[in-house]
Amino acid sequence: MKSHDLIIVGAGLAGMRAALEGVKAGIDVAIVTKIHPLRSHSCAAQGGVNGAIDPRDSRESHSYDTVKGGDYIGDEDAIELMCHEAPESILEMDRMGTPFSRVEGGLIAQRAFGGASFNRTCYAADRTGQVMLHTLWEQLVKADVRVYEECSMLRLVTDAEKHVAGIVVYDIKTGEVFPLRGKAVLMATGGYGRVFLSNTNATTNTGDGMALALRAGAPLADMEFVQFHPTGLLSSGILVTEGARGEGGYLINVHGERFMSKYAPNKLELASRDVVSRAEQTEILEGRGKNGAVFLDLRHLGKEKILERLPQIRQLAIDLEGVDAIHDPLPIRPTAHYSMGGIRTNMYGASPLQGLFSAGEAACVSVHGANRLGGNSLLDTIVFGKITGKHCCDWLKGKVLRNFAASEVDEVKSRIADLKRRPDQGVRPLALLQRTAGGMNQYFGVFRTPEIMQEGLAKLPAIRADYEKMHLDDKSDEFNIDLLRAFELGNLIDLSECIMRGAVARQESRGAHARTDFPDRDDENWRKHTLSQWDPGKQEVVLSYEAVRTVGKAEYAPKVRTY
Amino acid sequence: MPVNTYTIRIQRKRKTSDGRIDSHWKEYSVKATETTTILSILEEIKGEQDGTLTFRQSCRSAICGSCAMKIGGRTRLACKTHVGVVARDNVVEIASQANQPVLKDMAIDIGPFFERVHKITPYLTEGPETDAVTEKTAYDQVNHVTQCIMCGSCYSDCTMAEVSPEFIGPAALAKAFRFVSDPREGQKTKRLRQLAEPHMMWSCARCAMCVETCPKDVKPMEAIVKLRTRSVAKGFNDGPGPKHALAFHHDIQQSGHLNEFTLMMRTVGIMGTLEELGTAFHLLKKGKVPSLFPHKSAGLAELAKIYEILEQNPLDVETKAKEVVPE
Amino acid sequence: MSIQFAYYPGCAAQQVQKEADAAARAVARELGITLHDMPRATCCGAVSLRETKPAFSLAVAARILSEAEESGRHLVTICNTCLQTLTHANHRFKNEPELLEKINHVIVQAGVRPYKASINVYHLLWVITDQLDPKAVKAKVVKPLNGLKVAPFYGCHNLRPEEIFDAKAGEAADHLDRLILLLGGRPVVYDGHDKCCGFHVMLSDKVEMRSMVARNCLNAKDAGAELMITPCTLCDMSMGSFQKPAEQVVGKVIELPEMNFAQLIAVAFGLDESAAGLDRLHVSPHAVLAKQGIR
Repeated sequence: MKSHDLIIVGAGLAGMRAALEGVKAGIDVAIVTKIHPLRSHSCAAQGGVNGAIDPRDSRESHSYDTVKGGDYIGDEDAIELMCHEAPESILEMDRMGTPFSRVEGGLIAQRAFGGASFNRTCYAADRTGQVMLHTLWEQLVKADVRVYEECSMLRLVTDAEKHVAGIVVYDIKTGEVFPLRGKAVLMATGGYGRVFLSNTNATTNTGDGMALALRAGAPLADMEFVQFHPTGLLSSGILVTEGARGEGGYLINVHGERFMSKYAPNKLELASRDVVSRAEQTEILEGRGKNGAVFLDLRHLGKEKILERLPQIRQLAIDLEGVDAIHDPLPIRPTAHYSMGGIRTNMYGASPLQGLFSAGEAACVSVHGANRLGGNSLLDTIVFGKITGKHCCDWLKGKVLRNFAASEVDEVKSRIADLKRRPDQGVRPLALLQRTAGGMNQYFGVFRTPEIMQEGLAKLPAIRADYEKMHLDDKSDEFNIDLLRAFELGNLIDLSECIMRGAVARQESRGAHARTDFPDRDDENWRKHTLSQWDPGKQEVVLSYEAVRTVGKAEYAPKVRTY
Repeated sequence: MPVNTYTIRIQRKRKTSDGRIDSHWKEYSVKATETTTILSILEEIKGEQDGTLTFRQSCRSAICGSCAMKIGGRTRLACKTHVGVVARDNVVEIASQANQPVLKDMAIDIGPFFERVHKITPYLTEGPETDAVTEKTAYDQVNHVTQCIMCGSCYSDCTMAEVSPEFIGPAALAKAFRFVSDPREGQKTKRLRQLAEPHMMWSCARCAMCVETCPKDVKPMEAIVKLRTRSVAKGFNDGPGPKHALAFHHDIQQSGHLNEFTLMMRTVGIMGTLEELGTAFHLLKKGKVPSLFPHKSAGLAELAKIYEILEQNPLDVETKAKEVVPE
Repeated sequence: MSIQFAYYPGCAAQQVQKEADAAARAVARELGITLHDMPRATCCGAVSLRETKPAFSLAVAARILSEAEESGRHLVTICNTCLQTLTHANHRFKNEPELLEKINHVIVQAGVRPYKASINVYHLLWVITDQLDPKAVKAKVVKPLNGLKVAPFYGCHNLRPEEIFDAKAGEAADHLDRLILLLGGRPVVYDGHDKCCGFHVMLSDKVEMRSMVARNCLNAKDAGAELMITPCTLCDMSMGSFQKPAEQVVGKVIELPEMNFAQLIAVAFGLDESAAGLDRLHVSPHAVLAKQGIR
């Protein structure tokens, strides 16, 4: 049976950064990833990475902005740790080879970003995530790290003492199912944007690590907090970056009215993401949208300015939506973008489940609280990738491989055989995905209303029942994407339940969670983390709560969040 | 926008039990508008008509490099290709990338492609040639090639790769240039020496197919041209590639024209020329023999002067990538 | 009507591919295109010079372009590589005024007239298919090809990079196809029409170059081609003269008659051997042409 000291699942920024710590510590580390590392969704982050590297800026200011941005539900010790480690982590990426843009004299260039009180977002042209991802992959090649490419994790395995023993791997290329033993498993599998039908995420962002950790007994935290980006393209959900509004783009409804004046008279289109998303959704709900969208209008900027300042946005909209921003407004809508929730960990990435660690979007450390600031997601991956990797290596000292029951693999194999054997009862994977994820958009979108949420929750049993009837066309062993998607859909359904139950229970509005019946933040009762756990007896997700970790600084005390 | 009915012809490929690839064309009919992406169409076919259809995809926004495949004869990213652009009489042909082993349908084995990239030492290395400061303009060369997403399109359409599995390919060479032109790289010279070896930079046939096919405007061949420039400047002039290239400036000054008669001798040497005698006689049969003393252009003194001026005062004429600030 | 051009045949047409030069001159004369020789023009240097001496290569191009500009005429060529090299430089001169100034500063010191970046670089093929009235061209056809299946082999350096050329290029280019139709032939659709002939690696990657030739020719043949034409003297050399050596590498018989586009026009215009130069071809087209009743 193959084994490693540390198995990292996912080869995005967090996973690869953690692996490098394993190399440094001299342990046997391996990465399991269902796509080639360079295909990981970290590449899509265009904006940049925050860090107080300018002497006029401070780590304290960065921490304060992050606490406030997260609407006072982020864990303050973890936030301080992240902001403190930010400059060194960025400079380290620079030393490894990331070509960050420069200013005269050779310092790394920085620019303004939403919610930040200083221009502290470092960038590499308009592809920061991509070049950072390529840099870490280069380091992985240099260190000759073992990577199980195009291998999907289908189960997280624990022993009788509820200690992680390894994972069951499905080699997509061959169809082989095999056990991989590890003293520890680090989930760096990214977010769960695909829970929503309209989203900015890669199709591979199915939250596999979270879902399998949940089933193995680990708690997930704050799953109801899903950031909706205000400007996703209507047909694909693909993001139009904030720069379009930064350059002076208007948001208009079907009547051509610039509606933000009603919702944020001062900041207008440049109000924070949650505010703009809610305004758009209100327009759409009240019948002033078209086909479920409002419009981003750039026409008044003129051809020259659009070509000069926003060429990529224009091209993207032409490529994906067939609309040229020079001549027509772009149909956009709020679109699921980022998962604040994830596997609950302490500030060193350790989950309460012994031997399980997590970093990046898969984890809830929690540094983003109820709302993530732009430029903090890339930062999260490299800081906590590093910290978690290092901590994990320390923790591993003296640990041994746990018992990995052969039945775990057999169960997965028989599940696969069962899926392939099923007769066609009219339930196809794509249709069921559209029902599940479409429902999440409909019932648990930007606004959450009790009756509507209940309606959505009530559909869950039928979805779970149909999932068991789902039929696959592809019966083959090699590259069976049909089969892979069936497993991913199961994960999405589990995560949907966490979001639904968390949202129904949380009787307040905070950050990305907006209740129509409780429009205000309620610090007295709800300044706490939601924990979701799988109850094997009830076969459903149950909730509990955990206090926010504070450090007692006066400036971190909750205030009304205005911009 | 009007909805059209498109016929999507897909080359289905399956591995047989004895390891061969069994392939046949299968047609699907799909309703779509001109601007529907090929990826959306493939998703619809897989979801609603035939779940066995297999292809890679992930980000849907031309940044992860998963979905490069042959579409209408050229390798393109399915996620950014509009059906209306590639359809001929409402028919689109789709197949896997070329020059690489196939696993199933459009899913190729990406291993051999990445093995080539691994060959160029794809990471920054320490050494004596690191610049002290990384200036603001430091990346105006790096910037083009760091746009590469390793989708493999250039390799799939590379005309040299088609006939030479040994050729390292455009993507790997563009990646090599990314390090050779990085001010922080410590071993630029060592890299150039390695790149001058057979089947590396000098084997590119200069067809520019990679420039046309690249979905991210990396312009791999331009990077290869620049690698050669830097390599020649370092004096790595062994081998037929650089020798042939270096013949030009000499001949232009001598007569104004390429001396095709002596070119072979200078490129491949006496032994190489003897080997080629058969070919030479073959050409001779039809009078295709260049004159030993080609006629001279007028005003050759001007060229000698220009050459002399440029040797004394070298001019930087390299193209540079525009500085990009995120939108 | 007469159209005037500065004529830049390129090295190959003046040394080994003389039949292309003769055909081009004869056909141009027939069509009222006047080609003026450029006595001062030198070799363009191809990509090779751009690689070894980038600044010198631009200066050489500027000097050639300046000679044409001084005569008040656009430049026309019959070699793809010359076309691309001169167009590449011209495109940069037109879009990078500082670069042009730097290069002019150098050539002026050598006594060369500064280049003002006012002319275009064309292929003779484009002139015939884009700038002349198709009816006028058709009117000259006395020996129509009678449905002869002709494979258009475009080569690379008149197509890519698409954005630099002064005519339709890239995947959209269809000049050869339109020419074949004008002459009464049937263009053959095959994989390889826009691929590489291997000329530039003829000496450095011998086997690979011959494999390219064989692949492209065999693909054309499999698709039914009876004849292949190219717009480039270097492609002619590869696809025509190197067919035999290519056969030895792949161990297959090719035997696909190949000629320069201008030669085929000369044939269709009924011009004599001194213009058509068919006897200089390595794979004789006589049988194929005779079969169609053309010659």
